[in-house]
Amino acid sequence: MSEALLTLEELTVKAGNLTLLDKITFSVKRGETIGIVGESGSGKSMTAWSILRLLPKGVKAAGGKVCFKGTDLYSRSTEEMRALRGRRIAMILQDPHAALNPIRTIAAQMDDVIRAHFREDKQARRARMRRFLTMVELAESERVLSSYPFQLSGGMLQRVLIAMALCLEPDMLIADEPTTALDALIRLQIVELLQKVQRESGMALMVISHDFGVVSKLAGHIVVMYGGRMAEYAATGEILEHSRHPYTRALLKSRPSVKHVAERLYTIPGTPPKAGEPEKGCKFEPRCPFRAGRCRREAPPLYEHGRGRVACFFHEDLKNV
Amino acid sequence: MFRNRYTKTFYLSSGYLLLLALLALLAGGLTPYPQDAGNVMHFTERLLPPSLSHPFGTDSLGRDILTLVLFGARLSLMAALGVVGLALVIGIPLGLLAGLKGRWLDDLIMRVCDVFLAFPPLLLPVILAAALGPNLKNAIIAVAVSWFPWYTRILRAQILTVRHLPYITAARSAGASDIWLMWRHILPNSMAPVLVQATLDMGYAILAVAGLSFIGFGARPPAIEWGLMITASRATFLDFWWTAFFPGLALFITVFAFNLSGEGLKKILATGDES
Amino acid sequence: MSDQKEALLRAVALSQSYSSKHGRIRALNSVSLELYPGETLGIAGESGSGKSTLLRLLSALEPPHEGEVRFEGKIISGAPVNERRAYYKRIGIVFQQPRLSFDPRWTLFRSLEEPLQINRFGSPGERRALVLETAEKTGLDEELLNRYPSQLSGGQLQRAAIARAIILKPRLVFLDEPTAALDVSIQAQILNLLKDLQKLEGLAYLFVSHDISVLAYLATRIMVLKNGTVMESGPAKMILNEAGNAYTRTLLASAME
Repeated sequence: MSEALLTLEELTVKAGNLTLLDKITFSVKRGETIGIVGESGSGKSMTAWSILRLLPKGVKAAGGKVCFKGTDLYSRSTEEMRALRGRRIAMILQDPHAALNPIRTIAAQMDDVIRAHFREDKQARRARMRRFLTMVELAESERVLSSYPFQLSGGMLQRVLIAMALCLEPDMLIADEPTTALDALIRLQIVELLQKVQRESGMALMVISHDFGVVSKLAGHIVVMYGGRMAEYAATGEILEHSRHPYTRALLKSRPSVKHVAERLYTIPGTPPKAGEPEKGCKFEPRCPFRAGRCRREAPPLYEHGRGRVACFFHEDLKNV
Repeated sequence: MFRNRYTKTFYLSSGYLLLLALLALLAGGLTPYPQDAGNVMHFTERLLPPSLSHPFGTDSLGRDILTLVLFGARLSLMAALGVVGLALVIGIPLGLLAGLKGRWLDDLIMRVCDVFLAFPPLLLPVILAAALGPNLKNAIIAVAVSWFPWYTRILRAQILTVRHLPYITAARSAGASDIWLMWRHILPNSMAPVLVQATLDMGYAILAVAGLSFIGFGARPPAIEWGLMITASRATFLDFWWTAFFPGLALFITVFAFNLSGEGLKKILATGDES
Repeated sequence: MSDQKEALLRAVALSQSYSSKHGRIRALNSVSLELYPGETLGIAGESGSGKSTLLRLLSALEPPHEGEVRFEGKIISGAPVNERRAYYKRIGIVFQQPRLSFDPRWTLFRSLEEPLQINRFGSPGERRALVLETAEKTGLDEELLNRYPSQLSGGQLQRAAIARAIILKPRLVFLDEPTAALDVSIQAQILNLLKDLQKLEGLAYLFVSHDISVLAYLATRIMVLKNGTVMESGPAKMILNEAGNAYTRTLLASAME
């Protein structure tokens, strides 16, 4: 059994008295893809930031561990973290335009990234850039390198960012809403690109998105988050077909579909919770169709069942529904 | 609809300014030497250092400097209001026309502004003040005329952004006329940066007028104005520091207070919808 | 497609170009469409497809370079201001960004009342009653009406936007990616609301979206737009299941289910 590359053990992150992440636990193996799905306020992006220890001001890790290749990242020094970010764990974000400096060429920016981690001469660096631009299927690599961000389309820029993330040959890539700002057609292309790139490089991939479609195409396992807590964790097929958490099922059901056009969409009443509320009990309770008195008093723990983990008192019953 | 972003410094600086205005207004009744605000001379009391009876000392004519500073506040504050007020009166309509009407009118107004903005900041007021004739009123006009392009620019830029926001289109598609849109939506949502700049500029206006007075193109004796007081102290301040220090200090603190109020206003008016 | 009913909105050979630093760009290329009362025409298009320009032309906010737009038989494209104003009262628009759809300095109530005030509708009491009634129809709590946009969620604001769009009891509502900025669970609520309101108020919708699954839920007919040209158009079922055009098929594939 291959050892896990990254393991989160009961990671808890707080901003003052508000709990933003509550006991997040999952692991990713080499070569695996994990998806994190959730709506706004679920804490999915915060999880990514917490792994890289890029927490905003006032936000601190208050418990748990983030183990990468055996060591707890929270016990590492600032210098070590800086060397690790990009080189071992890379990240790409939602808006490709915002991630790049508009007044510098692509080549200059990629060069910065490479020079920060590798001691290669100019030739080698250029070759590296071309190699990875080709890997992301950007045909005219020289033209792209000498371009400025505004001269490239959103789809091309996202490919550039993927190339920039990959050119350091990291062990893991975290993609936070990589396709959200892109058009539907490009979205498909980027998803397929990520699949290909991961296959060829063998690195681990963490895809964070609110879009179940994107995540289920890429990920082998899915973590569903709600209100800063884990709702469910299982293999993608299990989540899509046999979910045992009321929120996951409701979320899946409320998506409009091209294949099965519904008469009426299933809706979850109410709105996703803000950070810190409700205080006690299950976060989903106010909106849950299966709720009981107990759900308001205690927060359900993350139960292990044979095929995954789920945080609901009634997961056994839901298995049969 | 101000969110509660009033900072302590804003309270402090605005409080000071209000106090100053009050003191300036009531200067006559507050000081024990109201008669000093004029062309008088007390030969025996010339150039006395700060003491209990004269907290700021006396000047080369024997006049109490504290009294002079308070009376001087009147002119300085009026100059500030005059300059900024006049600049707004000229600048806002031009900014509105440029931002709303666009095309050739916009180009025309912007080129005119460019001409004014091409001058180094203090040169144009000096030229205008010299041309108009040296007195306080002309100094105020000179500075205002040199400064209005800033407000025109700022307002126009903000209008250009606001015009295209969905809520404007929504109102238009409900049948709103251009006047309705301008008066109820565009102007109110575009004024914030102009107001902030105007508040900041009050301080600089005082400095500019004081500067003009210093070189003789602004207020003239027997008017009492801080810049003029500093000029008058040139002959004496090396040996009698208080003759320059207190008017200078008043100038400094007041300009600083306007700065802080302007910054505070920026925070208060920030709607935070621009990411 | 029903020939008996007269088309509510009809556009014939609409074309629009813009000059930019790259020369003249043709934003729309001879686009024609019809919208019948009570139905939803879905326009599937990505960025650069010309859908925004199309919406502006159809809502008479801009005159077309070529072609015409008719509402209830009368030409409104390039019509004089007072005729366009009359048209505006019969339509509503819902935009993509709920937060930018409201004047940040006004309470929700005031924003909802605005269309009534502009058109000098009734007394303050009657206006208030209509605002409350419309807000209720869109699922907005009365209490929320006294708040400012910054104090409300995206979903609540979008409900308010819909309320404002229908308050003058229009026949037709233009919707420009109304759920693109919302969470999935909120999107479902809004889409259901739109469906209900359509039946309740007898509204016709012109719904623009890049998300074909959303169009699948609401649209009676779908038109696919690419680079300003109509790729394909027809009844929703046909487009979704038997699309002929290659671009349409790729769009469908990108729904990723």
